[in-house]
Amino acid sequence: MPIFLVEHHNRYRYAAPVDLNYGEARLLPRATPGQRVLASELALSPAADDRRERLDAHGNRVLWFSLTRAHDHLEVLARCRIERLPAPWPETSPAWESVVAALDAAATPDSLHAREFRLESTRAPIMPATTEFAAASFPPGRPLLEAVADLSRRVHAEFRYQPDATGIDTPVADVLRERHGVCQDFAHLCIAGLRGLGLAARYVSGWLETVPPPGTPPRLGADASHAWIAVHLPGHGWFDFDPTNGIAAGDGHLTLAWGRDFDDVTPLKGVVHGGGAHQLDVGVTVTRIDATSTWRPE
Amino acid sequence: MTQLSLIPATPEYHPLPGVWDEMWDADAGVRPHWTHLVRGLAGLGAREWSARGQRIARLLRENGVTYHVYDDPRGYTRTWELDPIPLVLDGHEWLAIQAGLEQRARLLDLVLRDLLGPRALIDRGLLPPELIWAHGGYQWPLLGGRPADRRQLVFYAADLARGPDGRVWVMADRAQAPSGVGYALENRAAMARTFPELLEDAGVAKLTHWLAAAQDTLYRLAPAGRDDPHVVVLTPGPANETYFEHAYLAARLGFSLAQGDDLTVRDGRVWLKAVAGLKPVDVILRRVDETWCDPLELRPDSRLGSAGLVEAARRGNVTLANPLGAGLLENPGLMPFLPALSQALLGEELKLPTAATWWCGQPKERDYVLANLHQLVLKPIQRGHLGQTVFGALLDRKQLAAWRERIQAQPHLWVGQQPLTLSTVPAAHGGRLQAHHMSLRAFLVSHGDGYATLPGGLTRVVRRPDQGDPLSGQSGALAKDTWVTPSPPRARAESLPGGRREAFADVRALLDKGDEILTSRAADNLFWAGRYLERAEVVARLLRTVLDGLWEEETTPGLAPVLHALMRAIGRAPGQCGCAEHPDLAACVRDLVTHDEGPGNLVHSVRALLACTYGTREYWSVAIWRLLDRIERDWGRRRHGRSPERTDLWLGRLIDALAGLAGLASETLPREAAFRFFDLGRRIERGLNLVTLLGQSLHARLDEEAERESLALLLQSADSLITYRRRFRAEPGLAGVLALLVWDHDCPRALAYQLRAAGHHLAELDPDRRRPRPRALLTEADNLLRLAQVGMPAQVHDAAGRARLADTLAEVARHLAEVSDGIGQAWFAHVQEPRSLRPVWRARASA
Repeated sequence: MPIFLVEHHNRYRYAAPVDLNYGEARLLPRATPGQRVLASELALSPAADDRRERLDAHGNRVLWFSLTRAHDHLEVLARCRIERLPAPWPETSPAWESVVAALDAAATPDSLHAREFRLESTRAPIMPATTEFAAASFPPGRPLLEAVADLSRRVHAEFRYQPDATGIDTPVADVLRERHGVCQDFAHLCIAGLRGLGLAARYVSGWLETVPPPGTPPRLGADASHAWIAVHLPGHGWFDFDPTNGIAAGDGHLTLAWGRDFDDVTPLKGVVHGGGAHQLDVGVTVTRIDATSTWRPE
Repeated sequence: MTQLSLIPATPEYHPLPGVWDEMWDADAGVRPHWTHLVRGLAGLGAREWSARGQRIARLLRENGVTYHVYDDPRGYTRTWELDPIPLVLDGHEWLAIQAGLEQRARLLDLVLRDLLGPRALIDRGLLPPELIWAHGGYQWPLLGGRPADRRQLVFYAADLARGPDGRVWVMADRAQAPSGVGYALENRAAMARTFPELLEDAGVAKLTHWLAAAQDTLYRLAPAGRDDPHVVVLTPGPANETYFEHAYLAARLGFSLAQGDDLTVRDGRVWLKAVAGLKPVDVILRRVDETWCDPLELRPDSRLGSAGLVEAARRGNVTLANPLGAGLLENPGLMPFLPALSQALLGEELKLPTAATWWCGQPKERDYVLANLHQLVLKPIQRGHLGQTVFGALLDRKQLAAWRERIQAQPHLWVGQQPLTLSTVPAAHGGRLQAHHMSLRAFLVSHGDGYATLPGGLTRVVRRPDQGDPLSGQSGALAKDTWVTPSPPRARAESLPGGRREAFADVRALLDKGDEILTSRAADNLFWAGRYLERAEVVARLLRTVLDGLWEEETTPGLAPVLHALMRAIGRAPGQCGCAEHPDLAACVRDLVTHDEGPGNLVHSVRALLACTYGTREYWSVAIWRLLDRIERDWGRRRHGRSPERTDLWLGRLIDALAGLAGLASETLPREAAFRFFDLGRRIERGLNLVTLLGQSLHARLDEEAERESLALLLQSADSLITYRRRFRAEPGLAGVLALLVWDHDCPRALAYQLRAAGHHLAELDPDRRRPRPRALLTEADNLLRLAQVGMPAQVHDAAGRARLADTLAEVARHLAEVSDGIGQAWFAHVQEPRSLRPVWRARASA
């Protein structure tokens, strides 16, 4: 199976010295049924005075760090090598209503835990408008995965991908009304809609292959960290869709972390004392390499 | 007989029909456990009774027992109101209640440990996941840690009520940061001073033991290997509704009082920013709600917490009580599941009944609530998040329909609860003895292998007998002391173990005071309390001097320099108030006093002083609080009728109170850093004001008589006229005034004395000269004064000499101002405000 090399840098430059800097990074990929993490590292420059990695309550890898000596810049560089594994999709899936019923019954621990992702969350609130929007892809009896694929296609077709139009505080309602946004907005919109229908949907943070293989159309969202959604099918697990590109997530989608919404998996967040204004430069390169590549983290 | 003539001045007491009354049994009269109290009150007589009622109110006010009311935009403090008639509970019944409470605390502790750790209760089907996950107290960053091997629920409180059948029910559980115990203890203190013989006679259970247990528990919570643990009380600050209690507990238990930005996390540990440097913190008594505790991992907009706190707790480097996450136990939707949980986790029947509650996340329960909306109490599973408690019976048809819709949309967010007709208790509010509905908050603290229960608690009654509302300090309930009698024997687990207790008994160990821990914030407030105290005093004295002068003659020529000095002292150019044109100078001056706004003027200084003392309340003695209370009543925002005609009277009262305050502070504060910062503020402010006063006199060109008069006023305003006359046996002259008020190192009103005293404090505060700048400035100022003294006698009378001296004094003032700034930078700098970086939403690609 294909192997990918990822380099993701975040460079902060502060106008004034920062005395104290506390941060949390979810920039180390987790293992999933669809991917194996061959190597990964997260380098800070200047080096953190204190750092510790742990797993959060959703099983994501988190690096907590602090810098307690004055500094005027900070680079957070993630590098890793990931192998994508075959992730078989069922030929058919059950009607979406029966999935809702199966979640209600929660016969297995998996589907019981999946119910967490049916509840609204801060950035994906359940609203009549989002539920209604999603419902158009969910006529009675339609198989779940087919319906979600349709929802994903509709978002791609009907919404404009516009990087500067929305910010972190733009509510989903505005995204729906204005019909534009970026990957996070589209993911939240779909998640809110699916949850409104009683389905379990979660937010996935990850990377997208920079240059897709020849013959496939160019993709949006590859220049920085990407976001998409996953929907739960009891007995089978989670299936990923990328509404920004209107496709099911495939080979080129590499998972970092998942949660209820962006807030659970923010790739990099921080609190600084001092610093004044700051500039941030972010860049991601995801390269498909062959399995014999020898790069290892130092 | 339904009349009760035993309590003086209140010949009738009519309990409500169909309601349980705590004191009165319709069939048998006064309940046996009340007879001591009722007989005692009857023996007092009407006049004595009324006098003691007033005494209670005064005691609480003077001890500064206040409660903030959030919806008051100007943040007034409201004095706690205590009804003089306590609730009396039968000691035998209390034993049963206590056993029920302790069982409930043990159960909730196990639930908390599971939900923060393995979450097996959800997997086992004992708790529906939506009930937990949808609760805002269930914060994902706080989950998934190692399972706790020791007790997590340290403080627990329960709101209890008695129904018409006499049974006691738990109405609500409090586990976030239960408040009220400080008020309960103050209630008892006020009652004990007012009715000592009644408490003694009735054999009421004592409360102090609980506090000792809490202190012992907190020390023992320290991470392993911390021998002399440092405990801080984390408060949201003076604007919080129960700030009084935070400061009270810190002072009573001997802990540091800290706000979020007094703490800093380094090397995975929590440190307190003290003036002597960073002090490690081992245990935090948390009075800040968990979501506000860490802007990195929890609410990014919080300024009440400290970045990194969650990680420090996660690593086990600091223990929080209650731990982060405990707030989830306040979810009323848990209540219907507790009987089954008690069976599953403890193998016991739940001893105390819980108010009948239906969680709407289950279909059958939801249907029941929807069908009975009009007779249930509707509550969100989380306080404040989705609104407040609503009584179905008070809703009209349209409102009921709206509620039905709300509940149907997200049923798991709501519960319905069976309303309970609360029992009543006599209260003397409003001058008549009437039956008021009541509830009781009981307090528990983990101790040994069990829990210690405060015998009694905080009883609250509605203000008007016809109210049956939920009881909350916010809606203005009356408080009552709670008497458990006869005092039940103490359980074995409650007897205090050794450890810290033994250390307290060793006098030699206590003589070594160790490091005084003064937070930078407290030092800052103490310094400014000193400055504002001095500023208020000098402005008040000047005003009184001016007014006295005006009294004697409308156009006293020597008055102008003093008036101008006054103007400068309050930060205005002379004449700016329009004095020159003002037909009535006295009226103009009075305006300066009574005008509220404008920094520098008297009212502003007095209120700033009050704010600084309130922010450092754990440092001030009871006697000082009494004076502050008097000042607050005259000059606080809610002052009553300070008529402008009696300005002289108000000024006199203020000057006396300020002088008393300064004297008491000097007599009660140990000569430690706290006192030094306070006194530094006073010395610097006094020095600055002296320069202003003297400068005006040096600049004024007055004839001999006017100058004499002016200097007399100046001496008077510096409270030094008598000293002058005694020392020089002459009319005031410039040379003598300068000798006394500039160069006399031994005169506490002289400029040289201020410089020396300030220098002495700085030397004590900074023995290693690590912050040399302020001291160097003081030395320079002192040298300037000495040089000026050398060439002095001949120069006083010519204009050039006066101008030179005035310049020197101005230079000294500039130095003093710089010293003040330097102290701020050296000791109070709260580093920079923390900011949450906005996460990348959509970063532009790098070039």
